[in-house]
Amino acid sequence: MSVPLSIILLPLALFALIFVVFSLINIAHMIRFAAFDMVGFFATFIFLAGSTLFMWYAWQLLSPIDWTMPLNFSLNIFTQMPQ
Amino acid sequence: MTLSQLIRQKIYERELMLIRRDAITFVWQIFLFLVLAAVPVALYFFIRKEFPDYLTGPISYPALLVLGIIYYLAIWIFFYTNFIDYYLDMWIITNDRLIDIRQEALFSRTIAELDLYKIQDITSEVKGILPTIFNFGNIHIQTAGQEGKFNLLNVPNPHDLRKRIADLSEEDRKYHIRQANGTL
Repeated sequence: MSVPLSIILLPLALFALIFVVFSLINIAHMIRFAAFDMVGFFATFIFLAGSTLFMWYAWQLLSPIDWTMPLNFSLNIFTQMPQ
Repeated sequence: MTLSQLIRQKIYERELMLIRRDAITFVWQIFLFLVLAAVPVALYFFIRKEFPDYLTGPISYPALLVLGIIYYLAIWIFFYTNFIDYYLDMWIITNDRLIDIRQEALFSRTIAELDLYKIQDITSEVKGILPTIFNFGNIHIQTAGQEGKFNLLNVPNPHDLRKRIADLSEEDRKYHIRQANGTL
């Protein structure tokens, strides 16, 4: 049985989605309850800038990897008979 | 957020103070974030020394990389969520009321208010080394009404704030007495 290496990216994609949802909720809270004063605006700016920078750096690290490489699994547990 | 969005503001009511927990109480969150951020770096050096093949393996390297990215995203959002929790906790004092706003979790927010003239007893305390050095502490307010006890936790200059609240309470009490006597 073989699957592409890109299967490793599935948990990352799932977590990235959670990250985006939580970020949006947090920013919505900030706008709604803190009226986006100077400190709130600055903190949100730092958060968004940090997130963008981190994602760009993560992309730089992930992109050279060949994600089409197959991962081979040997399912011996199902094929081998007990001695 | 304006005061009128939080409460039904009276004609004569005006905002006097907006208080948050002392900024020093958030510093340990920054410290925790820095420690958590340093963990993968320490692990990287450990793996490079003990298991260098893991950092070049065609499967282990991408797997470790993905784990690292997920970890950093998690602590980054955790840190920002903690900041929101800190920043959205506040107490607003007007010339008529004290409004207690608490962001207990991301989906839990409580707003309570008490009339200043109902304050019966007010206590301020500064306990511990750090609170004494940085002058922050707690204020406990006992009311005559059903609101029970109000606690302002880790606020800056608690003793000065207690005096200020006590003065405002006295002023508000006099105002209500004059109003009741029809002398206003």
